[in-house]
Amino acid sequence: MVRVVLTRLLALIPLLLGVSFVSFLLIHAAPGSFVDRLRLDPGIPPSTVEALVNRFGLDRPWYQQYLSWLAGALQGDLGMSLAYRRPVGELLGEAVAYTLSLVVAGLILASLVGTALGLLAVMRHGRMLDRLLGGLVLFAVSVPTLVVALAGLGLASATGLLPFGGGSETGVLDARLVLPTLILSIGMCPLFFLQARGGVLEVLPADFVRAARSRGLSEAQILLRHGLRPSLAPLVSFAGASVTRMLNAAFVIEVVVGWPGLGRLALQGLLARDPFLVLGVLVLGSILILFANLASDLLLGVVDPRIRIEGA
Amino acid sequence: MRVGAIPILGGPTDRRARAGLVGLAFLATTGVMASFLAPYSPRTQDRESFHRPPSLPGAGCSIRLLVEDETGGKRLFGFTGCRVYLLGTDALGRDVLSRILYGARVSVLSAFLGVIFAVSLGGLVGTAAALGGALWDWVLMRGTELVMSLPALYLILAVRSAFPDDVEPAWSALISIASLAFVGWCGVSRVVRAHVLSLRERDFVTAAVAAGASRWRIFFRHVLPNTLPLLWLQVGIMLPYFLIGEATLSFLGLGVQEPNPSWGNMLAAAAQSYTSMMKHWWTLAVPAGALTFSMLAANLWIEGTRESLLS
Repeated sequence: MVRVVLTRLLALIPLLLGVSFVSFLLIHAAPGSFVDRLRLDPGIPPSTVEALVNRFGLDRPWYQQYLSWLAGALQGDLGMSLAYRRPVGELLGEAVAYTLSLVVAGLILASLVGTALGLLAVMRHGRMLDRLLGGLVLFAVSVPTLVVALAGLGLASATGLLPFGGGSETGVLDARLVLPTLILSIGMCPLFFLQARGGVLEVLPADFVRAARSRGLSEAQILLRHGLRPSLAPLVSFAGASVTRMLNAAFVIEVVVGWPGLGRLALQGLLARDPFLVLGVLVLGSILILFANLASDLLLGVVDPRIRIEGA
Repeated sequence: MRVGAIPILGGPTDRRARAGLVGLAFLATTGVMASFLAPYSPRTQDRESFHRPPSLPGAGCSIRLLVEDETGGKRLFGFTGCRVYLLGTDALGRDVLSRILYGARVSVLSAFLGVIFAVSLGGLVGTAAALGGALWDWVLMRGTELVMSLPALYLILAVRSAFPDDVEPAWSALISIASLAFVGWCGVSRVVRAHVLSLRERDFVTAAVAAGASRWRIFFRHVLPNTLPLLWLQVGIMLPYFLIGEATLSFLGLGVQEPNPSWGNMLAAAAQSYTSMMKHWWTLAVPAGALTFSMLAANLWIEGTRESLLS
């Protein structure tokens, strides 16, 4: 097991190097750097700007800048955010906690509700409720997160039922987490519903389900132990693969309702053309995605012992 | 998979697919004919009618069909003796209906160009990886892995900001589409690669190789026709991606810029003050409804054609 994890982790290194290199090139290609904008500001003396350029070596060729960033990053120093005047590592550490709390809460809520509704649809397969849920899901998948988020924000501010917003003083598990979590799960729930419903329906004709039925088990027991249990594996790998989708949704939600996560930080960094901040956010984002995939692969072995990874 | 099974040409048999297709056709028509269908210019401000709710023409006001506007352009309908805003006006007194129609133009353009770009590039790369030998396969697939291990929206925004943002509106729309396509083609290429790899093992390809057919002949006669249904499915999958992607970019201020309308920047304008968002609900509901409608049409179409394409 330890060996599997180690090999998988080692395989991430070239990928992360590639990610940081591509991200750096993208940022470097952008016209109008942070420093260029400072130079245009008549309120800032040229000597200040030059001091900034010298301090961070921004006048060196791009490959030198990349290599020195990389050397720093390997020692845990991700550079300074020019716009915030704080180390990028600190900013990312604060923001990622908020994004993770949102994504994890959304994942838990959406997978529980989605799976429960999926089972409900299986129990009423082909009947009114199943069709109703199927139609609702197609509609829910079509409403963009952006629209759900704006509607949620409008409702929350008009009724005053849920607090929203947040700054650095907000706790990671604040009451203001409820609104973004609800918005995130509305988009994710239908996908878990489809996975659970499809998975269970696929297993139900199997012999072991017939055998369970002939032994006189109740429908609920059959569904949970013989229907859901074997369909957990695809659900788990789906959950891992959906982290990219959830990060995208979280980005939009954070910007709309003002939850102080990575998405909001990234947008501010991009608009300010803050090079090291953007680089840090991109690399951290792909670390999150790669680790989520790794975690769901490992969890697969727990859920379905037949697919324990070779060499474990 | 049936060869050349492209249901749109024969007319889809599935009810959902037909409904979706009608919706998409409606969207395309409004986008293409925006300047004819819209009663006003999307930029004209009525300084006496900020945030006017939707209304119908009252007494002393008549609708005329096929009128000429100030610039001499033909419009489907206009009003005489009054200014009527069927879907209300926004914070600057501009007609929401006209802005939605002109905004549809951006969405249609982005979906159309983006899908063509992403699907053809993805198809090309996927086929090249599957048929071009081990080296090509390794290089291309590591490239797609790299793009796919970055969070998509973050990457799209970073790509978008690698271009100048003070450009002509048409250019800015094209840059947004290119940024979206840059990320979107990866998924397509992986699906196409897997499919072409499995086709390569099929008996009819082996038979063609044995019969001495050239590589190009095998590709055009045997591989491409059998990949078309899959590509068509990718078109359907990419449609919602480009529709929502363009709206998100414009919403975040990195796509189409004011005063030019797009559904995304209309949502952004409506959300500027969330306390009054519910009071001026039409500024939010109209673009949100348009976006949801087009997503629903695309999803209906793809759900309805999926089975017939993959059978």
